[in-house]
Amino acid sequence: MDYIKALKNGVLDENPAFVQLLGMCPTLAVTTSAINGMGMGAATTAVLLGSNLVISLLRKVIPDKIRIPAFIVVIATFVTIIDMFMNAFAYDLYRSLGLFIPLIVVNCLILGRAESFASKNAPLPSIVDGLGMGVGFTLALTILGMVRELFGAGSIFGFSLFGEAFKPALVMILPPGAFIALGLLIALINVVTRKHDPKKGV
Amino acid sequence: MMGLFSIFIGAALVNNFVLSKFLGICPFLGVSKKVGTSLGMGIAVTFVMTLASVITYVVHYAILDNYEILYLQTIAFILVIAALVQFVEMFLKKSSPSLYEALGVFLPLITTNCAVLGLAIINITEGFENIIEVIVNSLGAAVGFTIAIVLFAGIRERLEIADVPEPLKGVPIALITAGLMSIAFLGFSSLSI
Amino acid sequence: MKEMIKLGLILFLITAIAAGILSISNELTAPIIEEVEAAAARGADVAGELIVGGTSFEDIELALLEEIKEANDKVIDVVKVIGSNGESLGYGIRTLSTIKGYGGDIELFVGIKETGEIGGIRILSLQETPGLGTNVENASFKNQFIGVVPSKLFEVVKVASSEEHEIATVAGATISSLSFTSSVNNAMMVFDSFLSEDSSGDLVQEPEDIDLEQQVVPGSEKWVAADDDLINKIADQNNQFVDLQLAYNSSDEVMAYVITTWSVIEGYYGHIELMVGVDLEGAVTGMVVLTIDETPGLGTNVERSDFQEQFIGKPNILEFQVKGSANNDDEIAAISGATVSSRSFTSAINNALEIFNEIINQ
Repeated sequence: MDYIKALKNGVLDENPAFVQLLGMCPTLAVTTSAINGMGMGAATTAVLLGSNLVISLLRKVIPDKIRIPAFIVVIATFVTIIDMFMNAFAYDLYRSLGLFIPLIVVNCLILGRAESFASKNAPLPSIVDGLGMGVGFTLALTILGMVRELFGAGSIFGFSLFGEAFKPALVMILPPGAFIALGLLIALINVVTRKHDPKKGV
Repeated sequence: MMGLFSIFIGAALVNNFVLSKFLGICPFLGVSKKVGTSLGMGIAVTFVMTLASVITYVVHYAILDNYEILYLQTIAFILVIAALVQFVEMFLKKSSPSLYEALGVFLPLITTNCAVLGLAIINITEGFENIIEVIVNSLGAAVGFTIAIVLFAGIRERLEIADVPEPLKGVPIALITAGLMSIAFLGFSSLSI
Repeated sequence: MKEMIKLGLILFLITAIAAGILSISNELTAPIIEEVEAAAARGADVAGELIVGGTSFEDIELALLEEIKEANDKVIDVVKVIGSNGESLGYGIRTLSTIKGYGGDIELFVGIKETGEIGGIRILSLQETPGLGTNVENASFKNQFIGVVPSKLFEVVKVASSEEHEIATVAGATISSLSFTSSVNNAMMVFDSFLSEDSSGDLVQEPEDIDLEQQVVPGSEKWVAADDDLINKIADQNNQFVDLQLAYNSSDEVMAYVITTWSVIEGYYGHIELMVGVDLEGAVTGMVVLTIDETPGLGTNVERSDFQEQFIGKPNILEFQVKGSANNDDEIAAISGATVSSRSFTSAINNALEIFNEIINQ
C-alpha cells in the first residue's frame, strides 16, 4: 500500500469534512474557535485509529450479519474511553466540547471507514487510512474554527489580534455563521480544485 | 400545562435541533432534496426519536443510575437506538412495504442521526421532572427537525432550477441557505411562554 | 433460529468485553476526574479570585450550612475562604439568581470578606445572549460590586450615581444585569443573616424600621384618611379593598393615593396584603408589604427592592403581567422559583391600579 498516497487521500482528495461531507454535526457545532476545532478533530482521530485497528484485527472473527452492531460497540467503547480521558486530562476542552464528545459515536465518518476499509484490510493499512482521514478531518475543523474565531471574536487560538476597538461579527460564532462559513469555504475549495483540474465538474 | 407547551415550543422553535443545536445535520443536508422524501424521513425520525427517548430515559434511571454504571451510557444508548431502528425496519417491511421502499437506505441511517442520540442525552442533562416532560420535549425536537428539513427541501427544490454561480452549486449554496434559515430561527430566541 | 442465538451470543460477548474494558478505564480515571472537577470549583486560583490573598477553602459547620440552605432555596454552597497563613478571610457563597436571566438562572460564586466587603465574583453558569447579556461578564460591570461594603441591597439603574449600591445596567441587557445583581444580592443576604458578626439581617429591613410613608409615597409630607363616602363606595365594588388614604406634598396638594388592599390571586400560603401608593397619573410610587405568609427565602423575595422596583414609576399601565422575563413596561419578571408568590403580589398591585382607574379617577 502506498502510505503517502493514502495520507494525501484523507487530507485532500477525500477530505471527510470538505469533500465527503461526513461528520457535519461536530464540524458546525464545535468550530467556534480554532482550539475547539482542533480538539474535536484530535478526539475523533483517536477514536478512528482505535476503532480501525480493533475492527481490522477482528475482521475475520465478527460474523457478517452482526457486523454493524459489533462495529458500533467497538466505536462506542473507544468514544467512552476518550471521553473519560478528556474529562480527566483535558478538562477545559472537555467542558467546551460537551455533548459532542459522546456524539462522536454517530459520526458517519468512523462507521463509514470501518465498513468500507478496516473490515476488509490488514491492521497497518487500516491505521494509516484512519490517520489520513483523521488528520484531514482535524485540518478541516481547525481551519473552519480559525475563520469563525477570527471574524467572530477577533482572535486566533485565543490570542486577540485586533485589540479593544475591533467589533467582531458576532454572527460568526453563532449557528448561522457556521453554515455560511462552511458553505463559503467549500465554494472556495471548489474554485481552487477546478482551476487545477478543468475537467472536474460539480 | 403551560409548562409542557413551553417545553414543546422551546424544543421545536427556540432551540431548533437542526438550526441552532446542530443535531441531525447529515440527513438535513443529505435527504432534503425533495419535499416528499423529507416529510417521510421526518415522520420516521419522529417515531424513532420519541420511542428512543422514552426507552433510554428508563434505561438510564432504572439501570445505569441504579447500579452506578453511568460510564456505560454511550454504549447502552446507541445499542438501544440501533435495535429500535432495526425493529422499525422489520415492522415497516411487513406493514407498509411502499413506505419501506420509499425511505430506502435512509431508514438504517437514522441510527447514525446525531439528533436521536443527542436528544437521548439532552433529556437526561436537562433534568426533567417526569417522563411526560421527556416525551413532550422529544416530540417538540422531532417536530422541529421535521419542520426544518421540509422547509429546507422546499427551498432546495427551487434552488435546483435557479441560476447559481458555478462554485456555489450544490452543497455550498445549500449551506448558505441553511445559514439564512438559522438566522430566521434566531428570531424565536426571545419567545417564552 | 440456532444461528440467531449464536449471533446474539457473539454480540453479547463483544459487548461484555467492551463493558469490562470500560469498567477498568473508569476505575483508572474516576479519581482523577473527581479531583479535576473539585479543583475547577474549589482550587487555589478560585479562592484568590473570590478574596484577594485566598489560597484555599474550608467547609463551614454542616448544621449552619443546612440551616442556610433550608432558609434560602437558591444557595448551593457556602465555604470559608482561607489565606496562606491559615487565617479566615471571609466566605464564598455559591448561589443562583433570584430573578431569572434571559437564558435561565445565573450562578455566581461570591466572595465576601469578614467586614462585609464584596471581595470578588466568579461566574459559574451563565447562558445569556452572546455579545449582549454576556457583557455582564466584563470587568466594567462586575467591578461595580467589588470593594463595596453594602448597607443596602444592590439596585440596578440606568445611569449610576455616586451611590455605591447603585449598579449601572449593561446597555441593552437589563434582564441579564438584573439577574446577575439578584444573585449577588442573594449572597449578601445570606452573609448578612447568617455569617456576619452581628448577623442582624439588617439588609432586609423589618417594616417597623423603615419610614413607611416615604417608602410608599416618597416625598410626601402628610397622610390623611380619605372621606367615608369614597371608602364605602370602593368597598362596595371591590372585595379586596381595605383602606384608602391621601398623601399630600409640601404645597398641601394631593400627590398620591395610598391604597391598602389584599391580593386577588392567592399566594402559596394565602393572600398577600399590600399598601400601594398610586400617583395622579396612575403610576405606582411605592409599596409596603403588610401581611405575607410565603415561603421564606423564596416567596418572601417579593419584599426585595429589586423585585418591587419593576412596578414603580410607570404611568398609564392598567394591568401588570407576570412573565419569565420582562420585555415591556407592563411585564414583570417573576422571581425564579416563586411564580405563585410573584403572581399574587402583582394581583394586589393590579387591584390597587383598578381601584384608582375605575373608581377614584372617575
